[in-house]
Amino acid sequence: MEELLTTLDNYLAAGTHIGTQQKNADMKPYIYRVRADGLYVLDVKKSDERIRIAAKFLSKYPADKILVVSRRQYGQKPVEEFARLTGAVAVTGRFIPGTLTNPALDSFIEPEVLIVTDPRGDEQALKEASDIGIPVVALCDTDNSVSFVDIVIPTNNKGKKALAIIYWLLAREILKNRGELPEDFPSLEEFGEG
Amino acid sequence: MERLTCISCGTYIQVGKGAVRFPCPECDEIIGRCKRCRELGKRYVSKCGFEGP
Ligand SMILES: [Zn+2]
Ligand SMILES: [Zn+2]
Repeated sequence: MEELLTTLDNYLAAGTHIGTQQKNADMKPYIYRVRADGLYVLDVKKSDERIRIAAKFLSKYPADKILVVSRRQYGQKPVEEFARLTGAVAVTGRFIPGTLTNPALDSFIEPEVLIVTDPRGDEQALKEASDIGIPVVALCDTDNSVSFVDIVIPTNNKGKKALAIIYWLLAREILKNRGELPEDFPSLEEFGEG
Repeated sequence: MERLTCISCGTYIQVGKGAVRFPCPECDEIIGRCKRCRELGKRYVSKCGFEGP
């Protein structure tokens, strides 16, 4: 069996596998089981595999052409820390309409790929990425649709710890792929507090 | 102009307005996806066997 990117304990402690009580049919391939209380549980191995794939994919793009967004609060720190470590551009909080489509705006940017923390919360960014035709990587929970998403990372996308570990691993794998992993790359604990 | 087709349904596409092109994460084959297939979350399979989204 191929090794996971981090320990199973780390994944489980972060709750990346803890989904919601709703299941979107799109996410069926990534769901491991449904608990007696109706909670859908994601397959940790598939999340791990997808982080690896997404990192490989994102490594093909220039660092500053990667846009990563999180409107919801829990994703904001991990997203900012991810951007700082990898050189990506982060937009957290409200996504100003026109950021990708209106060159007259001060906030106008021209990324080549988008990472969304939650396709529902980050709907505006997702829509604009689609309008300009750039591919989208999305963290998707059991209740998310994968509409306009090109590469899914199945995970709990609502928990603070889950988001920290996903963005930490994603940053580490991208830097590894680029051959730029620094010796002082933060530990998961440091990243989570960052 | 390069002629790009949607990997799932085969229609010709132009990037933008919902349609995208990107390299397969695993093999670098250029993948095109049309607006409709993306909207519906249609499955796609790259030459190397990679399955998205
Ligand atoms: Zn199509
Ligand atoms: Zn491929």
